[in-house]
Amino acid sequence: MRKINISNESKRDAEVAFGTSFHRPSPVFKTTKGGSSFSQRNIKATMATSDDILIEKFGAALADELVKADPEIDMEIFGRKVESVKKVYLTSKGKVAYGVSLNEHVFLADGTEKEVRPETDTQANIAQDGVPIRWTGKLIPRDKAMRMFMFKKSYQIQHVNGLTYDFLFDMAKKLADADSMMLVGGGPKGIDPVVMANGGTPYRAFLEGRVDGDKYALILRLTNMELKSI
Amino acid sequence: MAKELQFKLSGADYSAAPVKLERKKIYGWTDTVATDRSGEVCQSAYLSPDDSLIIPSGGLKQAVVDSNGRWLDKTELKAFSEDGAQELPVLPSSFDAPIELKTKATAQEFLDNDWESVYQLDNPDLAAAVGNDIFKFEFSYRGGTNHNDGYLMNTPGGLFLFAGDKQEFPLVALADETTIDDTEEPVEESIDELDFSMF
Repeated sequence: MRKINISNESKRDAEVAFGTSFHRPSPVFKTTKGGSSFSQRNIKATMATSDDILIEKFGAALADELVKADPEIDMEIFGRKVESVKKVYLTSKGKVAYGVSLNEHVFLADGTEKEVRPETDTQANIAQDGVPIRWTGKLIPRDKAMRMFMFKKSYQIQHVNGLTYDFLFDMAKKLADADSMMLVGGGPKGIDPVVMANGGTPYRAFLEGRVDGDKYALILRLTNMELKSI
Repeated sequence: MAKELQFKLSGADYSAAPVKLERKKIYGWTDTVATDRSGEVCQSAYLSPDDSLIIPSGGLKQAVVDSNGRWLDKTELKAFSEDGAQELPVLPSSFDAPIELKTKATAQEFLDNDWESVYQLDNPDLAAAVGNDIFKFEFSYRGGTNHNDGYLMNTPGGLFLFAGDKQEFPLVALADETTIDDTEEPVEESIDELDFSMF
């Protein structure tokens, strides 16, 4: 399991473990005769067979050429297996571009461009020394939370020793007794979205607790979408 | 006209066309645009490291081949369970026959799922009939070997159909202490536009 630094209601923090055993099974495909099959990436088109180049080369005669001579297929390269490829950027002349800048064009849901900003990358904030994931104090009844947000991912938080058992059991019990979920946050103020991995999606995160006797389950639920009418 | 799902609940029939709920429809989206030193917009492509061949975007295709490298058509393939032992049944699409809403689910049963998709259903009569209950049923959008548990639930934002798979969260005792390993989780999919004005 991976490490998460989390604090409780009293702002005491501890490093504990989190993870999931969930795995969506992928089917295996066999031939009708029971033989194995493999998935592989093949080349379908090259720059020389791209639409722009073919239009430039043949102009109005392209349709006839497509029927007559199949210029859209490079017989030497078509269907060749490719193991790994690198992403590159091309100029309008089809040459590899250097010194490329990446900008994010942000659009509103109605398609209006809101802003242009340099591309940024996210940093994980769940296991930083001295900056635990904190309780925000915003407690939402469980039934209300599940009807407000689409929880995209959920992880179980688990103790790594006796001390952290008490720490997490207590959290789970408080939440179970309240039948509510606690909004938690990252960053120095504990209000930032939670990012589970470098380059990962920022999520709003909630803690849900369950208790039965001396057993508990503490669940971190992540959402980046409300259940809104579209 | 969009395809409609048919539902049967307490002897009454309802229909609604599912509309997939997506972040871009609610909050918008982000496009990443590359420009070179002169400010000219660049197109993305792939470079094959073996022979420096430039492959345009859309110039690669995933294919299924046999052990001799021979291309296999979909009709020549059968789906089996992940361990390869059991042939998977081919199920009809949920659009093919009415969905009977007979089984009610608890809040916990609903929450303990990994959602694959969520759809909005616009049918006020069906929403009224569902009320505060959560209904569970077998669901497959396209049919075939992929199917999920489906749930129907009212929310302040309307009636939604959730399609997902059960996720277990076992209760743990003191003796179930675990260990932290250092394995880094692979970097997730690239981020899209974020708007947390919801709070």
